[in-house]
Amino acid sequence: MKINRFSQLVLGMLVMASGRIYAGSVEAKQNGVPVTAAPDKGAAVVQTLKAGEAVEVVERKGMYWQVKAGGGKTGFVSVMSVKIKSSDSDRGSLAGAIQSAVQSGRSSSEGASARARATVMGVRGLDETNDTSYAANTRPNLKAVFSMEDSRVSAVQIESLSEKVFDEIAKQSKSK
Amino acid sequence: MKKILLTTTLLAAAGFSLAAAVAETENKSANKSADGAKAGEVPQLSKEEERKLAEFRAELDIGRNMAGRLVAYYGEFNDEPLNGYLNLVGNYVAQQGPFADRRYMIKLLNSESVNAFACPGGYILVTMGALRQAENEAELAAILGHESAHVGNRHMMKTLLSMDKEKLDQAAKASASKPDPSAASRMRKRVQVTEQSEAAKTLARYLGSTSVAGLSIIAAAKAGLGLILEKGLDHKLEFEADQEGVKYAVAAGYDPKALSNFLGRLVARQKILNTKTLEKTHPKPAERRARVEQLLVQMKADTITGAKGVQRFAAMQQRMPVAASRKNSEKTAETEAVKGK
Repeated sequence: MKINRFSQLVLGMLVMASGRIYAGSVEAKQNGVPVTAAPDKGAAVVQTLKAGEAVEVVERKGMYWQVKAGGGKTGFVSVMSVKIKSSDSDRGSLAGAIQSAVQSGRSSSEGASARARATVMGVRGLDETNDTSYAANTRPNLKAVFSMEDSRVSAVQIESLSEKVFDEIAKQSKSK
Repeated sequence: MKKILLTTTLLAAAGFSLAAAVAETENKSANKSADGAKAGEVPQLSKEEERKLAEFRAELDIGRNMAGRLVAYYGEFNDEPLNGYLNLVGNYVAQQGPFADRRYMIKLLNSESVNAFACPGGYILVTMGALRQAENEAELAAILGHESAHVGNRHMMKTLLSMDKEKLDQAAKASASKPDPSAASRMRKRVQVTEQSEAAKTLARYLGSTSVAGLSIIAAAKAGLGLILEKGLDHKLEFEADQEGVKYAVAAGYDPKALSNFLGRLVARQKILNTKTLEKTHPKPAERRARVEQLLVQMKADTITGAKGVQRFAAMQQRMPVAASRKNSEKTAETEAVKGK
């Protein structure tokens, strides 16, 4: 089965622990979203979702999400009837710890010394070719890396992008 | 206050006292719980989660050093909206994969060489050259999906851990040669990237005591750089990252054919693009594309309607300066191609 092969490929510890491929969940856009027994329109409805009701995603199947329906059963919802929930909005304690490890862990690399260096060297212009900047550039540019670490993407931003993406799909599907 | 504490720790480290190492560890956990409390999170982690966190911390140190060297080598392109956009798309796609718990920190490199790099810990660097070759957000999503799969599956980290001392040294040496001589657009003059200063040596010896499998962080970062710029990962891992990248991107709602289209473009333009480092370190784009196409058949991609995000992408792509050097080389190559015929 396809899903098993993929599992073998990606068997990282996280997958083993959770037993699923995709980490996310989706929530119904409106009341009465049908969860069907198979990934097609005519299939039997096994459950209906209320607006905002979330279900865990197993895998994408064509234009359907395979989801964990009520009672541990597998069902399918149309990708157009739900929106993707950012996993940021229900982050667990590990994700939180990883998050703070990024900032607090800076001390354990040569971070602090690089910060001190940056203060001394300042930020040189890009066309700077004198000896000082020449030497400075042989070392990791940790200032840039710290700026990468400091920039965060919020769950709201991610969900908004997801909505735009699925709006485009909905438009395409209509015009077909 | 925190800063002062950390600096003190590092200064003490110069003396190589065991006490300093202990203080360091304590300092870390103090910071961790303080941050955890601030964010209102449950600080309680299971043993397995603690193990993952420790693994992640070790990766961070190596990845941070590698990313820092790559940025120093290629130069960064600092445009907040554009970098923010890369982070948005990258994190959105990565969240559709099994490694949503991780962090993905993405930045654009000021280079016309077509490439993207994933460092341990979640640092992802994409060149302007690569971004120019993408035509829409779906393609960007697939590229970032590929990189996030490397990060989540710990491809680089596992490769480093599988190397013995000799192999690590060899890889580190590879990165000390000039990695990408044709990146003419590089705006900074550089000497050997991995040259170690006295301070770095000092830190390397200190960090050696707390490192993964006895590797010093700096030695591992240097070897990682050798892999990323010269030797490449096992091709199997690249194919795997392609497959997963496509799956994450499709789950996110993007056009399934995006990566195949992007790779096809690299094949068609190989004479005019600077893909030297990419080709040295990855399987041939044509071969990658063929494998992606196989996956698309398996997943019945024809039945999947996907978004392309053409306008959003174009608005962001325009924020990059025009690549004068690329245009010239493009013209030359075109002329040569015509002559050749």
